[in-house]
Amino acid sequence: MIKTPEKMCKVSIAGSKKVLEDTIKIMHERGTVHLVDYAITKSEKEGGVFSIGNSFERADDLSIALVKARSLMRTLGVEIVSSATSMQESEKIIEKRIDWLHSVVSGLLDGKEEIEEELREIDRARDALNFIEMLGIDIDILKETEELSMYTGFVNSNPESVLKSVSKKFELFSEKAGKEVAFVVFIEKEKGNEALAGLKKLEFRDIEFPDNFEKYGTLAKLEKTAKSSELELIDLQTKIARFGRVEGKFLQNSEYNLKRSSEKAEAPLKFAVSDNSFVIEGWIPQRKYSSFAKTLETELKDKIHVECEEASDESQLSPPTELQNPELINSFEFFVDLYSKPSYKEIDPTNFIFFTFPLFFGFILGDVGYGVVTLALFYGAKKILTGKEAHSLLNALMLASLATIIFGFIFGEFFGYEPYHPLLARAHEVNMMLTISVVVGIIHINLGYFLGMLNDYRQKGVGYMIKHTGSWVGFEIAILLVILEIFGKLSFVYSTYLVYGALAASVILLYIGHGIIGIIEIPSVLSNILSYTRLFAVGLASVALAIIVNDFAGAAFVSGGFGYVTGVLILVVGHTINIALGILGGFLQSLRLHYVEFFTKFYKGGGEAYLPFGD
Amino acid sequence: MAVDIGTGLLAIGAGLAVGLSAIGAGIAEKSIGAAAVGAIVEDRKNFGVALLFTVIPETIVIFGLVIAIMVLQMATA
Repeated sequence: MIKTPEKMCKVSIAGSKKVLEDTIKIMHERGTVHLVDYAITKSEKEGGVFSIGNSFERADDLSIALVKARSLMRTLGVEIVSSATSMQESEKIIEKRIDWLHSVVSGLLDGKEEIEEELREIDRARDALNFIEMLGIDIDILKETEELSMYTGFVNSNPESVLKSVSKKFELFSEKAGKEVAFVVFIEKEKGNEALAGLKKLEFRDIEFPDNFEKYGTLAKLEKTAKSSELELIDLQTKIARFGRVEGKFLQNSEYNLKRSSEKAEAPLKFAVSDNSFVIEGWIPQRKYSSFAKTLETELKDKIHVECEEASDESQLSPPTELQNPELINSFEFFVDLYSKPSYKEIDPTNFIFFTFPLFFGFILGDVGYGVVTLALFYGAKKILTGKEAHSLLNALMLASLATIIFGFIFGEFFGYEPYHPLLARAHEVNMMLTISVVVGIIHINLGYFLGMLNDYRQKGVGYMIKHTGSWVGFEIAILLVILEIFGKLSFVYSTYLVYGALAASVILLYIGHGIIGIIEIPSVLSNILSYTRLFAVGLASVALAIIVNDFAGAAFVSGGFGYVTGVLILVVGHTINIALGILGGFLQSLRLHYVEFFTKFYKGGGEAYLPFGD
Repeated sequence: MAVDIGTGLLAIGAGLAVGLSAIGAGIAEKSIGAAAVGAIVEDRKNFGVALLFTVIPETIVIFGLVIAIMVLQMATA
């Protein structure tokens, strides 16, 4: 039940540079060593023996090909896969093919971009040509000269009178366009600004002609050009899409394999190398070490030396954390990781969450109907969503839904209805529910303290255990004794002195263990325990809402006829909202009880994930 | 559903206990929540601690609720 992360040992591999590549290959295939950057000590550096290794020559080519493959996949809409078959062709051939594909597809993309730009230009030119054809003027005359200013656009009424008041020398073309008047006016330059000011009073809206729009000729010609450009664009899009279909599999495979090759080619950046030798350091699970060492030694004979040093308590090393939980339970590692990964020496709380999270969630939601609905919902979501994290979360939630169904039978609730007299009617037995919640809280918190003491003992010994977590347990016991004394249950001689003495002693111990913070935190014992009443309170809110929905619907059904439709609608909408709130509440409140009340008693986290090379 | 004045006052008291403590928790949580979201944006690893800090004031409402329930039980007694 009480588990710590996988035991690791620090593996050091030293060997001749001739076998560096083979060593990397074997390590990559086995996928068990979590590499760490080799820390070159000062003396090693000054001695000039070791330096950080360089990546293999082909690393550059590989990463260029990888980048190209990924950019191709993005443009072609091909998804990156997490596993693929190995390739028959050599890396050189794959690189060449990707290069070729990349240049062809970029050519197509450039062409596509050009046409899209042209279509945008055509759109602008269309507006301009529409304007000119509406006014029936010749394109060639639309130019400002040294003597004449030109204004084109729309105003809200015929501008003739305004222009007349400014100057006699002007030429106006205008046409009614909807509520506005489209116009072109040529006017002598000196009066230009005055004319503009006059036009502005008529809500003048300027239109600008795009550059070179004359080249499209007439509107009819322009539409013809547009049509052919559009066809060309569709043709290019089909071609690009076809590349996606035909080469998708190849790209997925090569992306995967190039990524792995590039990992191998860049691995020496983590190693220390001298002229003729190399040293690799990393972490490996203890139980996997012997077979790993054996493989290396049989393959590479005496050109290599492997050794493993256990991570002892004294050493300052911090091994990576690999949790080891069976299939069903490991879904709950999600909750632990969300908070923080356990450090190497800590107790892994996953087991406990596996037990208590569904219990809390079920206790809060506790309705057979809601349980079935949420179970179906989570199952459906699991079918749709991909990704390891989402699946872990949904597995956990499905277990929580099962617990909801079980508690539903205990509380005798089906969508808020109570068809039989249940084991525990939570809407009516408030005191009982409060008591249960508080008792659950006391048990849960003390489980936390117990684990905390175990952690303290394992990491720093008995003395630390007593003053750190033990001081809180001592305080709890003292409080219990005081309560018993107050109710007169302790009736031996001097019991009063002894009890209050114990209380004082426990407070002093708290001060020794935690400083002034310990004293300040004393009320938190009470608040933490009372916090568990939310188990009942949030659930009660959910029941109340369900009952209200049912009452409303019932009232609608009584009226008959159209009332049936309304009733069903109320039921569906009401219960949907309540289920959504219930999931949110049940999930967050349960999680909070674990994170705030439970974890703070023993859990620190801050571990580094075990990410083996080549896995 | 006619109730006497005493019961009505008790009900108001219970409502105030929950309502006012909820406002208190809300005020406390608002700035913590804003800071927590900021911290999570900086680094997703902060999620656990951020959630922890954000929900700490929630306990205030629970106290209010406990008081409310005790008050309401005076009404039924």
